[in-house]
Amino acid sequence: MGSPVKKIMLCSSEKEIFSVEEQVMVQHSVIINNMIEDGSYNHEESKIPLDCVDSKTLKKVIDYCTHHTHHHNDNQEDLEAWDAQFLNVDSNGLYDLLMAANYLEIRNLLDLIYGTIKNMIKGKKIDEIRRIFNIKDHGFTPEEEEQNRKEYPHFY
Amino acid sequence: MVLSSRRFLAGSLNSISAMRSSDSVLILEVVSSGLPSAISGCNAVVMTTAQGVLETPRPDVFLVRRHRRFKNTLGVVMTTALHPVIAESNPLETTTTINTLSEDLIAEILFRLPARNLLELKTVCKSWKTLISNSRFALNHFRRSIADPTMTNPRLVYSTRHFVDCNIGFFPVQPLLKNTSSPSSNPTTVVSFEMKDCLEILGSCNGLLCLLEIICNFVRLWNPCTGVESDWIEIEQRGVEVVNHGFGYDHVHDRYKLLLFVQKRRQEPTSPMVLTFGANNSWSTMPDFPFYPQRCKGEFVSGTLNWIHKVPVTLNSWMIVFFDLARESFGEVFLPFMNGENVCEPVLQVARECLCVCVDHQKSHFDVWIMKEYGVQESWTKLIVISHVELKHYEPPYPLYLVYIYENGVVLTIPPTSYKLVLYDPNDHNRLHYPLFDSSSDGMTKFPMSERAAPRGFHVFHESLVSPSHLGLPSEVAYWD
Repeated sequence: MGSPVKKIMLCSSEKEIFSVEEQVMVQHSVIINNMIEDGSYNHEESKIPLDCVDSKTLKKVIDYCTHHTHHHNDNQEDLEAWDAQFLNVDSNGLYDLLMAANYLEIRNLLDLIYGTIKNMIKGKKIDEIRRIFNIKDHGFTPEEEEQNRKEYPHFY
Repeated sequence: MVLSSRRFLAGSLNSISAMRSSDSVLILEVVSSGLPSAISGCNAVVMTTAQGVLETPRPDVFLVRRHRRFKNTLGVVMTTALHPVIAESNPLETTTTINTLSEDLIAEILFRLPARNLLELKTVCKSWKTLISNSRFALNHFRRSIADPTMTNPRLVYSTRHFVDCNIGFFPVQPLLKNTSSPSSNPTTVVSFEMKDCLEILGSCNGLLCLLEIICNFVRLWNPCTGVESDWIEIEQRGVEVVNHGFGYDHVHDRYKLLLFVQKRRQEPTSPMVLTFGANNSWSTMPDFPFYPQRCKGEFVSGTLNWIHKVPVTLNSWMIVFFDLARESFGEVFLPFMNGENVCEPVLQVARECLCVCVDHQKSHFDVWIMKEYGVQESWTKLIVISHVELKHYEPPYPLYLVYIYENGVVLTIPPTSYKLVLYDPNDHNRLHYPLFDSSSDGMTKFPMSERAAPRGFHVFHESLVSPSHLGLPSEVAYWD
C-alpha cells in the first residue's frame, strides 16, 4: 500500500478549516508551493490562514484546483465547459474569486477570470464599463470629457 | 496609536513595525530578511486610520498590492486594528459591479484587449488613461498580444502609388485562410489610408511603420493605430538614392534605428548610415560594414537586422550577415545547409518571431528552415517543404519570396511571374488557393493589389499602442474600422 495522501489545512476568514490534498494546492498555487518547499508549513500543527478568503470562495477555489488536478487529461472541450460552469457566478463572486486566485497565485484560474472580465468589457459602452468597475469619479474635467466624447462618439 | 499586528501567512516575513504614526496616517514597513534590496524603497504603505486604507476600500485589495510588490516573500501583513474601520467603509455592493481593483489587476485585464479597444478605454477614467498611456504598458501589451494566439491579429501592410496619389493599405492575414475562391465567401477587405506624400514603407516593428518620402528622401515613424508620428527627418546627403535598408528596435537603449545603404548616381556606394530616432535624431556611419546588400531589405529579429550574403569566391557559400542594433556591430550566422550546385539565392524572412530561410533544393522543391533560437546554429529546424510543381509557371532559379507563414504551415506567397497572392498548403495535397480581396479602398482600383503586387512590398504589421519613447501622447487619435 502506498503512503496516505498528504493533506494540508486551509483556514477561511470565518475560521472554517478545509482539509485539502497537498498535491492539489501545490500544483496550482505558487504561494502554497513555496510554503511547502521552504518548510514554513508544518504538517503536524500548521494551518494556513487565508483571512481575505471567505469559506464560500475558498471552497470554490479548492474545487477548481481539485478538478484541474484530477481531470487535466480530459479533452479541452470538457475542461472548458467545466470552467464556464464554474465561473457562472455573480460579479461579487467573480471579484472574490479573483482576489483569492491572485492572493494564492493560481495562474490558470487567474487567466480564466481575467478572460471572463475581458469579455464583460468587450463591445460595451463607456457608461456600462464605468458601472461594471464601480468607477464613480472618472477624474476628467467637463472639457476633457467633451473632447473624449468627440473623439469616440461610438463609445458613448 | 498602537497597532496589533500578526503574521498573515507564514513565510519569510520576520516582523512588522510601525515606523511613524499620527491620528490620521500610519506608515508601516515590512521588514524581511529575504527581501532583495532592490525593492526596499517601496516597502512602505500609507494608510489612513479614519477612512480605512487609502484609495483601496477593501483590505484584500491592500493585501494584493502588497503581495504583488513583494514577489519573493510570502509575508503579507494585516493589521487587526484597522479591520473594523475597513469593514465599515465597505458597504455591500450591488450585484452588477466588480469592486474597485488595484492597478495591477486592471492592467492584467487591459493587457488582454486589442490596442484599438484600449484607445477608447482611455476615456473611462483618468487612472485608466494614465495606465494605458504608459510606454512600458504599451510595450508589454504589444509583447503579450503577439504571444497570445487568441489575441494576435497580424496584418499585412503595403503602399500603393499612382502618379502623386499614395495609399497605405492594411488587411488581416487570418481571414485569408477561410476565404478561398469559393463564390460564397466574403473577400478580405483592405482598410486604407490616403497619404499626403509619396511614400514607401521601409519597415514595420512593434506596431510602428518607418516611412520614406521618395521624392525628397525624408523618413518618419508612424503608428497607424494611435496616429502618433514623428517629424520628417531629412536623409543627410542630398541627391542620393536609398538602395537598401533595415529598420528595427534597439531594446537596450529603447530606440528605433534605421540602417540605410545609399548611393549617389553613377558613383561607388558609400558606407551605410545608421539613423537613431530620438528627441535629437542622430546619424552615424558604419565604415566597416562587410558588404553592400542589393536585393533584400534587412529582416528584423531579436534586436538584429539580417541579410543574406554570398561569401567571396573561394567559399562560394551563402551566409547570414547581421547588424546588432544595440551594439551597432555586425556578425555572421551560418545557414542550416551545405551549399549544393543548384542552390540559388536563399531568401530570409521572419515568421513566428524567428528568422527563416527559404532555399531552392535541386530544382524540385523549396525548403523553409526556421532558426528557433536566434544565433544558435543547432536550432535550425526544417519547417515546410514546398513543391515546385504546384507553384505554376515557376522556372528556376528564381528565389521564392514568402509573404507570410501561418501557424499550420500554410504559406502566403506570390509565385514568380504570376503576380497573384496565393495560399499554398503543403498538408493539403500541395493545393493552391487564391484568396479574394476587396482592395477598392487602396486607390488602385485600376490595378488591383493582387495583380500588381511585388512580394517584397508587404510587411507584417501588428496593431499596438507603442510610441517611440521620445514622442509624447498623441494630440489627434486616428480611428479605423
